[in-house]
Amino acid sequence: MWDQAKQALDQSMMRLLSQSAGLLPGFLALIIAVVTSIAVAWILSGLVRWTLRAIHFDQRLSAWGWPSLSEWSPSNSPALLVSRFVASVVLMMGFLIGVSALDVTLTYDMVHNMVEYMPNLMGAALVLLIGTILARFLSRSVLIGAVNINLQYARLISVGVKCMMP
Amino acid sequence: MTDLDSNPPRTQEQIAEIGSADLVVGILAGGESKETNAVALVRDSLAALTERPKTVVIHNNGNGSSDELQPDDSFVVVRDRSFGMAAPSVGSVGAAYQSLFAAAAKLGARACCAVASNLETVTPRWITQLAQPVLESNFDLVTPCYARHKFEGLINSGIISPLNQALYGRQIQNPMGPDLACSKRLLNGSGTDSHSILPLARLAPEAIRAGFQIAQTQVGARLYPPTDWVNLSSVLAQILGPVFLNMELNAAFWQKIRGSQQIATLGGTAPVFDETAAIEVQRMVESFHLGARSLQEIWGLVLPPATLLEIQKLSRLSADQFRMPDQLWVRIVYDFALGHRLRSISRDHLLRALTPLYLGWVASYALEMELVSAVAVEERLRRLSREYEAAKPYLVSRWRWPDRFSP
Repeated sequence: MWDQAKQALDQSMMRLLSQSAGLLPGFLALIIAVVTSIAVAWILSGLVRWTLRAIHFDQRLSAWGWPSLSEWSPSNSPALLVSRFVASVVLMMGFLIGVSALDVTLTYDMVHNMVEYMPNLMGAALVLLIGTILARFLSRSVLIGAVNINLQYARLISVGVKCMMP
Repeated sequence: MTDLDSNPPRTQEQIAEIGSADLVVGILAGGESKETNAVALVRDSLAALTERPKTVVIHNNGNGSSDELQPDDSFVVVRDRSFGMAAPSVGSVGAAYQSLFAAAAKLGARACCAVASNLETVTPRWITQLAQPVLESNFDLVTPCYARHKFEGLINSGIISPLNQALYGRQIQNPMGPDLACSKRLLNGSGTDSHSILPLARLAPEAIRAGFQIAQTQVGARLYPPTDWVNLSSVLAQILGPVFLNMELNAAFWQKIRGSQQIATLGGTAPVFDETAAIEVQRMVESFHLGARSLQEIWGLVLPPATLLEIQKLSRLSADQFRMPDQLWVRIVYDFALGHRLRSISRDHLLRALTPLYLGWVASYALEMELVSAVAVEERLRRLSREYEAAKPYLVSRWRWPDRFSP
């Protein structure tokens, strides 16, 4: 009986070890994917930051009607915010690629759903961006025009115009 | 080369048929009556010239009057409404000048004279005084000196003239006319690389840059159009837009200039009228207060914090205590010029957002000048010009290092 118990324990240990050994390449792949994505994210964010600074993105953003974006950006720099967003996306993608190496079925569904949803997300972001720029431009036009004809409630009208934009 | 394409084909054909001219006189304004027949004015003005030049009158009044003088080979009248400054097809004052200058260039005229003031006060002497120095004394640009009205032409007195003086170093009372005369070589833009017709705002700076001869001449009292308060922001945008754009084009030139020099002034000294006309100071101060309450966010994109603080302090003053220091006003103008260059916000928004600040300056000036003599007005405007010159290093610093220099 003792032998049978010992045999069962051995088999269980072997099963655990073989399963763990089976997971090792996956873990290794995860680590490689994460490390690679960190490197890519670092390079890409540096490149994005350099490009945006070269085209004076921070100043242009204010001119396009997004002055408040600077206030909640790290170091008051929307360029830094964008570069960090790009880095985060690359890191997330790297992590998902790594995780997909561990369990194919579970992570495949997760990645598939996320990728499938991406166009909707991008479309919504684009509509939001254009709408916001248009709303700001129109509300600014109305505000300046109303002040110049001495309307005391100029600000209220401009806020109304901004709110009416979809 | 020419901008006549926007004019009716009949006008283009007429100008082509005429072929050449010595003098082109453009009547761009209204106010014509039996007593002030524009064509007769031009004909009378030619009598004072040493030699009678072949003259083409381009008249914005499409209908000739019944008693019009008969044209001959040396005196031709072209009538086209599109040369009028208020013509709907033209759209802007600048376009009327462009068409006139293009016609003069096409005819190869030695001199082009624009008459844009209301014809009620224009005399033949005006046209002679403007055209003669170009035709007979080789001047390239002759600008007018009007009898000074305390509260008229304040966009020119408060912005255009002192800004032009500080930037380009020449003391020109009315660098943008509106009545003026210029030579063929100035019209053709011989001082520039591009051989295109120069717009009105570029005439004086280009003449200075190219080292051309400039004079101003005393023409008399001008009848100013009544101030259109509803459209003041459009007027400001239409006038200041080309001026600020020109600053951008000539930045390398004006940054080297320090101080200013007088130019030849013909026809004596301009008198100043002791006006008693009321100016709506209360309304202007209210506009300034409303702007200070509502446009802080927009002004904040153009003006540095110290200026915004000064404006906030001013907005707490009542109408009778309201005084805008010249230094503050000059810095505001310079910062708006810089904002125009940097496109800090849409250029149209920027120029229109200046209106409450301009009204603040006008109110302050009117309160200060209400009871003073005519001589004191001249001195006051000279002081403002000196302030523009004194603050020029501020403009140069901000222009060169807009991010670094923000006191």
